[in-house]
Amino acid sequence: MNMIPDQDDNELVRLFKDDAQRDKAFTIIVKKYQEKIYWQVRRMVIHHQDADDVLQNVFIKAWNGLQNFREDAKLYTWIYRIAVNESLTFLEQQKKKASVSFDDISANLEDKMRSEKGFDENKAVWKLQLAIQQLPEKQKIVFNLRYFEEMPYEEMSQILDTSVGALKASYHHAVKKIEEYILNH
Amino acid sequence: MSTTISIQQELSSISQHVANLQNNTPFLMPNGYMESFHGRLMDRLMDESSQSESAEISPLLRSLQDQNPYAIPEGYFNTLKVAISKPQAPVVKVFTMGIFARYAAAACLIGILATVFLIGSKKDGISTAVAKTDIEIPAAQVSPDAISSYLEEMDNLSFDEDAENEVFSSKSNLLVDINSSTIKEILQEIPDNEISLYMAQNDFGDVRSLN
Repeated sequence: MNMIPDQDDNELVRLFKDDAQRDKAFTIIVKKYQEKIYWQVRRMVIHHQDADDVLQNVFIKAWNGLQNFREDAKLYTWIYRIAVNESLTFLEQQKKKASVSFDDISANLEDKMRSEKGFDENKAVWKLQLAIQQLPEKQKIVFNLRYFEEMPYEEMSQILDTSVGALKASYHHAVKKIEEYILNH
Repeated sequence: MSTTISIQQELSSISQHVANLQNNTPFLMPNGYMESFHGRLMDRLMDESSQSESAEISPLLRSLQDQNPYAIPEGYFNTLKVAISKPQAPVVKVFTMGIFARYAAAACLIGILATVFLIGSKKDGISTAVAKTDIEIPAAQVSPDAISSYLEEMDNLSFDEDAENEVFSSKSNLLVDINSSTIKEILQEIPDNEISLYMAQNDFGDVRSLN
């Protein structure tokens, strides 16, 4: 992932806090992060429509919260945190709706994946996704951010409010479980 | 770049199998989704903004916005039967026996009228009792006076084709006029030997039996 220049984000936040420039600044922020956030959410919730709902919720919260955003934090880590929380909230709501346990929700997400267009469990890319769905939610998020986004542990720590060491351990366990799944399936 | 190499090295150190996999996401995104996302997002923001604005102006009105005071009978929608009016099929008249009967009756009537007309036009050729007689009296054996008187009577008859009934009635009168006394008069004027010869030729028996 390309490192986004902080001053650009800080400038955008300053523009957003100007009433006359708010819409313009927000448009730039959305177009800058929408795709990265979308794929992060999509890997969590699987279905496109669900991802679209969550993505809208993320930027609505960003709109509502940017006015009070403290510039000591980085904008994109702040937006990523919102995305992770909204994804977990969505999955939690799914669990409550279906009155299912974690194992059941994992099976539910696997079913959703199998219904995706072009799904082929014999292909390595799909097998990897199936393996990721077997992970606990936090390990899943850590693996996705590290493996797909190539996010540094320090930035991940700010997003997940977890120490770097814990994140490294979580990532190590996630990779091992994925390896075991791929070798056995 | 160094971060990428370090991440790849880290992965390889944990699992070479996973490191050899392609880190592509196989999910598909609808075409044009990203281009339209911002517009839809702003529309939603405006909707939510108007709702929060009304809440600021009048929290009471905002709280009542989603409340519906009307009640419906219990189980109403479960028992609701929607009468779906099926469009009536257009009534197409088909050929029926009634129509056929009408046409047949008209054809019969026309046929009857044509037949009557044709029959009426051929009545000149129909033999009448007057024209045909069982007794063919040779013209040479009939006296000239008798013939002339007969012809005079025929000339006096009106031969109007339209007055077929008059002709028929005249002829029938003629039949009535030629009674037995007249016939006797005609026969008295004919010699007996000529009558006998005629009778023998036509096998009518003895002439004396006629008197």
